[in-house]
Amino acid sequence: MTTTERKLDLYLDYVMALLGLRVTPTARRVPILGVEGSGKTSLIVTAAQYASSGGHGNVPLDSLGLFNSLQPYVVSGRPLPATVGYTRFKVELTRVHEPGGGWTDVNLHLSSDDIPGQDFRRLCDAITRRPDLSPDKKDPAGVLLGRFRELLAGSDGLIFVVDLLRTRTPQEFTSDPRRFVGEAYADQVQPIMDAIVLAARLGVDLARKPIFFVFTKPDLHGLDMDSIRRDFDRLLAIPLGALRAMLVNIGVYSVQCACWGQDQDLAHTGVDRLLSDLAHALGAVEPRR
Amino acid sequence: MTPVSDLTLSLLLMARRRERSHLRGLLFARDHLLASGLEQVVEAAIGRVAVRSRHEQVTREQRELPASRRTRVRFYDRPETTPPADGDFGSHPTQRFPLAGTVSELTCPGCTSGKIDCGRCRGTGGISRGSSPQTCPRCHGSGKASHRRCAGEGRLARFEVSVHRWPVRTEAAIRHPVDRPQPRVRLAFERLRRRENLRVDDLSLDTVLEHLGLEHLGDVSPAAERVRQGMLADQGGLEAAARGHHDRYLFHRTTLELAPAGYVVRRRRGRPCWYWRIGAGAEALEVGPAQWPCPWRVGGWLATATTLLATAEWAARRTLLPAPAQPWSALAEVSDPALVAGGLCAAAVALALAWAATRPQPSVRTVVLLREGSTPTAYLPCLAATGSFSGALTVADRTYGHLTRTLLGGAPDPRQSASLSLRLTSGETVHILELARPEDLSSDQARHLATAVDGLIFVVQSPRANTQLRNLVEQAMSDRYPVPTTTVLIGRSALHLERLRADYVNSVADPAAAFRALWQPVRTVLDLPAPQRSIS
Repeated sequence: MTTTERKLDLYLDYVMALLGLRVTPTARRVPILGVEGSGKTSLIVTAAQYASSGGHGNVPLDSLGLFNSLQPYVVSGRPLPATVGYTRFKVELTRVHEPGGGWTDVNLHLSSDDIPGQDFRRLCDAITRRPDLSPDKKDPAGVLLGRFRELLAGSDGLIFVVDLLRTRTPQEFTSDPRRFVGEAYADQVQPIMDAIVLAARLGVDLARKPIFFVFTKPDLHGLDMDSIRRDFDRLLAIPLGALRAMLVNIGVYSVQCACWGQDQDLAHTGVDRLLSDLAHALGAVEPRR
Repeated sequence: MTPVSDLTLSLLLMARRRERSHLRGLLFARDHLLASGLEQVVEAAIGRVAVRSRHEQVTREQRELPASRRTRVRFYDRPETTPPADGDFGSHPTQRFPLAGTVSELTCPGCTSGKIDCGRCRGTGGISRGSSPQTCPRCHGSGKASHRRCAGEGRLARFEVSVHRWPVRTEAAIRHPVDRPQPRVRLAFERLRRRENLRVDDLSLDTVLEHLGLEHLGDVSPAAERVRQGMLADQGGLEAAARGHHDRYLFHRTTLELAPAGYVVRRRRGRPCWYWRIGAGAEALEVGPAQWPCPWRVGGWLATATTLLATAEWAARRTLLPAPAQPWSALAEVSDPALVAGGLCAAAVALALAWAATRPQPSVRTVVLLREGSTPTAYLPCLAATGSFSGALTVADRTYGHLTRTLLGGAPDPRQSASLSLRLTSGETVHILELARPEDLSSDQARHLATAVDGLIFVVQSPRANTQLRNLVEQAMSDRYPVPTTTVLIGRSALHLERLRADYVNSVADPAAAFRALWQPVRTVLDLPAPQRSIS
C-alpha cells in the first residue's frame, strides 16, 4: 500500500466514522490479575517480548524503562524484584499469530496496573471469609471489592494468573501433585470464581466477556495442558457451570513466562496461543482493508 | 446440651411459608428466597460484657429536730456499719448514723418563741364570712399559731447524719458479630433478654463455649472472633468506668454472656440480606428478612376500594332519592362512570381473589435429604459437580464455594443443614436440603417439614436392615397431618459417595454416569423427566 493509498484509506475511515457507518475499533483493555508472586509481571514481560521481537506490537515509552530493567530477570528465570507500586505496565499488540498459520491485525492493550497482587490476595481472603462483603467505602475490603467491580465492568476481558506451586518447592509438589493441585484450586482459583460471581451479582454484565486463567511455571510443576484443563474442568465444575450459564467465556492456558532465553520467537511458551485466542474472543480483530 | 439453631432449615420453612401463602401475594411481591438460595451460613455469638461493681456510698445529711426531742435520738461517736453479705449488695437497707460531735442547738429562725402568725386569719384573730366578722376558728382569736418546725419550742437541735448505702452498679456493652444490621439485632437481643421463659444469663460461658465451639469458630467465623475480641476490649473500659464513680469502690465482677447467633446471607438484586436467629432451640428469636408491601399493589387496592366506595355511595344515593321522571335518564344511569368503574373494579377484585386461590404452585421444588448418622454425606457436592460438569444443571446460589471446598476434601459442619439450589435445563429450580441431625427433629418440626417439602430422600446405612429413621419421621409427620410427600429410601453404601467423590476429583469416575445415579432419587420423588444436556 502506497502512502497515497494509506492516506486515502484513513480519510475514508474518517468520513465513514463521521457518517456513523463504520467506527474505528477502539483498543481493548485487558487487565492481568493474580496474587503476589503468581507471575503477572513475568507474563506481561513475556507478552512484551513476544510483541517487540516479532514486530507484533510495541511497548509504550512510559513502560519501556520498567521492561528493560525486568527483562534480564525473566530471561534468566531469577526471582523478580517486587513490582508493587509500579503502575504503568502496558503492552500494545497490533497483530497476533494464528494457530493455523498467518497473522491477524488486532488492537489490544494489556496492562497490570489495576489491583496489585497483595490487594488482590486481601480481596480473595475477604470474599472467602466474609459472605456479607459489599462495596463499602468505610471498609478496606469493601473498597477493594468496589475497585474490582469497576475494573470488571470497565475492562473488555480479564486474565487471571495462577501459580499452582505458590509456597511449595517443585520437589514437594511432585511428591503429591493431586493434593497440592486441590489446595491451589481451593486457595487461589475458587476465591477468584467467588469474586467474579459476586461482581456479576452486583450488576456487572459478564456476558461474552472472556476471562482467561493462565497457569504459569509449567517447567516447575510439570503438568501438561491436558492435565491442567481436566483438573480445572472437574474441580471447578460447579462455579464454571454457573458462569457459563451467564454466557461468560472462560479459557484455560498454560504459559511458560520465564527462562525463554533460548526460545527467541517464544513459539513454545504458549503466549502466542493465549494472545491469539484473547484477541479473537474480544473481537479485537481489525477489519481487513 | 442446647441444640444449635439450624438456620438453613428455619429459612427454608419461612421461605416456603411465604411462598405458599395465598393471600400474601395480594399485597407483597413475590419473594425469591428459595430461588436465589442461601449463600452462606455463619454461626457466631452475640456478646454482652457486664461489669457489676459493688460500692459503699457514704454521704452526709443535715437533720434538725425540736430541741427537746434530741434526747430521743441515739447519737454515735462514729458510724457502726454492718456491711451486707455477698449476695445482699443492692438490696441491703440504707444505714444512717447521727453523729454526736456535730450536734448544735440554735434558735429557730422561722418563728418568734415558737409562735408564728396564724395562716388562716393572717395574725388578725378574725375572719369575715359574708358581711359579718367572726373569730378565727383555727387560733381562736389569738392570731398566733404554734411553729411546726420547732414544735413551738423556739429552739432547734441540728446535727449531721452519716448515711451508708451499698449499691450495685452495672456497666454493660453489647457486641454484635457484624456491623450492618445492628439496630435490628440489638432490638432482638433486648427482646430476648426480656423474655421471662428464656434466661440468657443461664447460658454460662463454659456452656456456650462448648455449645458454639467459639475457639474453633474463631478460625472459621471471623465474626465470632470479632465478638470475642470486642468483648475483651470493652472489659477494660467498663471496669474503669465502674471505678470512676464518686464512692468507695469495693469489688467488681465481670460477666461475659454469649447468646448463640447465626445468620444466613443471601443477595437480592445485589444487596445483602440477612436472616438472623438469636438464641438456641425452640426459644430462639428469629429476625427474618423484611418484606415490605409492594407499593403498586397497595396503591391498586386503595384505588379499587375508593372506586367501590364511590359506587356504593352512588347506589345509595340512587336508592334513597326519588327516581327521575324522564324516561331517557335510565340509560344515562347505566352509563354513569361510577357504575362502570365499580363494576370493573368488582370484576378485578373477583379475578384477583380467584387467582390467589387457584394460582399455580411455585416453580421451586424442595427436596429434603434425611441421612442416618451424624456424618454429613458428600451427596450435594457430588451432585452439583457431576451435574455441572455434564451440563445438566447449574448451581443457582452461592453455595458452590462451600461445595467445591467439600469436594476437595474439606469437612462440612455437621451441625448445620447444607442446602443447594439447582437450575435445570428445563428452567425449573430444585432446592435440596441435607438436614443436619434429623434424629433431633421434634414432631412440630417434622410436621412443618412435611408441609414445606415436595419430597423426602432417606439415606440410610442399609435399606433393608434399618428403617428406624424413616419410621420415626413418617410417624412424626402423620401424627397430625397426612404425609403429602413422596419418599425414597436409598442405601448409603449403594451410592458409594465417598469413593465417588475421590474418583471424580482424581478424574477416574465418569461424571455423566455418576450424575445419573445421584439424580435418580430426586427424579423419582419429584417425578421429573430425564435431564438433558444443553450447556456446552
